Amino acid sequence: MTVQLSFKFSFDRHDGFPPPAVRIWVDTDNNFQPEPNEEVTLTQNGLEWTGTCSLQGASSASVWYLVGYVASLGSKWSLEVRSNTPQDHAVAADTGSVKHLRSAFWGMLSP
Amino acid sequence: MKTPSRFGMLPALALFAGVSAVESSAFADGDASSALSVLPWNGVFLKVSDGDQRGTVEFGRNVSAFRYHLAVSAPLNSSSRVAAFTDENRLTAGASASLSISFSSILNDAGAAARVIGKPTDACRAFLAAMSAAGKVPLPTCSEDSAVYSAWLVEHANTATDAAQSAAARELGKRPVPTAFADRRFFWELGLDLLGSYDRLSVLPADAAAPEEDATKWNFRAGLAARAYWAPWFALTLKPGIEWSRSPSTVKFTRCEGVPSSSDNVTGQSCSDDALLLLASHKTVAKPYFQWALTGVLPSQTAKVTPGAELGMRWYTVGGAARQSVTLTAFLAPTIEPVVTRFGVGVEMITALADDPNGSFKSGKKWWTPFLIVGGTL
Repeated sequence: MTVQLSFKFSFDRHDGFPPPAVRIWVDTDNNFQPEPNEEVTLTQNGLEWTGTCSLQGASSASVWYLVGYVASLGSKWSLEVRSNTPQDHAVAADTGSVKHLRSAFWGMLSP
Repeated sequence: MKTPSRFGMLPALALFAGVSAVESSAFADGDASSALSVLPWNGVFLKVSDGDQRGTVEFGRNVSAFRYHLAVSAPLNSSSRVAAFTDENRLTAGASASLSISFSSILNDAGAAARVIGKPTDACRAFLAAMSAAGKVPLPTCSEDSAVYSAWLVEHANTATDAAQSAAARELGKRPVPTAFADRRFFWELGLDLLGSYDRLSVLPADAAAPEEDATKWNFRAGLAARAYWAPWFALTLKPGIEWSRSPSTVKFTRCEGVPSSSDNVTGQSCSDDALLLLASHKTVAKPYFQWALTGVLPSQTAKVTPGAELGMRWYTVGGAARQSVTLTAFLAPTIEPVVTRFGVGVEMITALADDPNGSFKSGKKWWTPFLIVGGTL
């Protein structure tokens, strides 16, 4: 069985240079390392990044993901992760205000 | 001959040319007045002639810390093809393609930030376990920027008596990414730019009545593209490279042929407005070019736009004569759009650094081109 995950990450604004960047990994092997084969290919549209990936299993429960970004101080980010199993629903969501140019954080998906 | 000074009478229109991070997109300008041409300068599209109308397809994506961007562009009508042969500024081109590949320290640093935070902390695990136990769906994150996580840390560090308390207390005030790295303001990108263009048109070899022959115009440019950013105020762009080109000197004229008539009182002509007269054929030449641009912005924490200015210079050779261009632009960059979007006004001063081989101008001649920016890339 396969679970399809959809990631959406956005900033509300930028503040000059450099252009913001976002990268996301899904820790499929559960070793808490951002590995190349675990990186979600993101498509940028303006200040929004979207991407999908597939998970082997019946649920996204307890799967960890990692987000790294470069962004303008004071801008607000928003993250939403959705799963298509058993039906389309959000499995992670949060917002934050950027305190440092470079940052990263862990998150875990709900069932 | 059509001279660059004529363009100086026209406000130029720059359109967003796409950035390395854009998703695949395709567009073609249907408005005949939207005459686009690639200004070999920051990838900006400028309107420099009413006779040039192009279609462009672009594709870009990030792979790890690398960006790549592919663009293909072609004139959409015969007038635009002719413009590529008659524009003395050589800002227009025939069918063209470009490929840019660059390494981005911005993307690399986003990855480095993810690597240096290590495994989820005990506080993070306790927080998410508590959220799960409380039936919180969807789950929040363990970001230091998250109000939910921050509030939980404070609450548990001060009130709880279990393991979560000590974990939260340890987490409070700690930086997941070392401050010296997280707050460093310098970023850079270094890449390779390849660009080529080609077109072939029929011309009349110095005689309006002579049989037509083909003339070919092409160029190939290879260079480096380096950008340095000092967040959030400045960006410096450097583009050295070499260009191989073959560009015949032609002039557009109206060519008319008499139409047979059975009466002396009736005459007629069949005319073509896009006839090209070949003035001179040039050999393929290889010339270096160099461009730089310094862009500054005044960031605001509240405004929807950031004001800025850009000073740029480039040295290049067209038609066998070296030229220098100085561009000064004032712009507003919306903060709720990609950093590459800009609106403003500018002026370009082109100075001939050598006599034109065809005698059209002398060294030192200047052309001024005011333009209006509707969008552009850095």
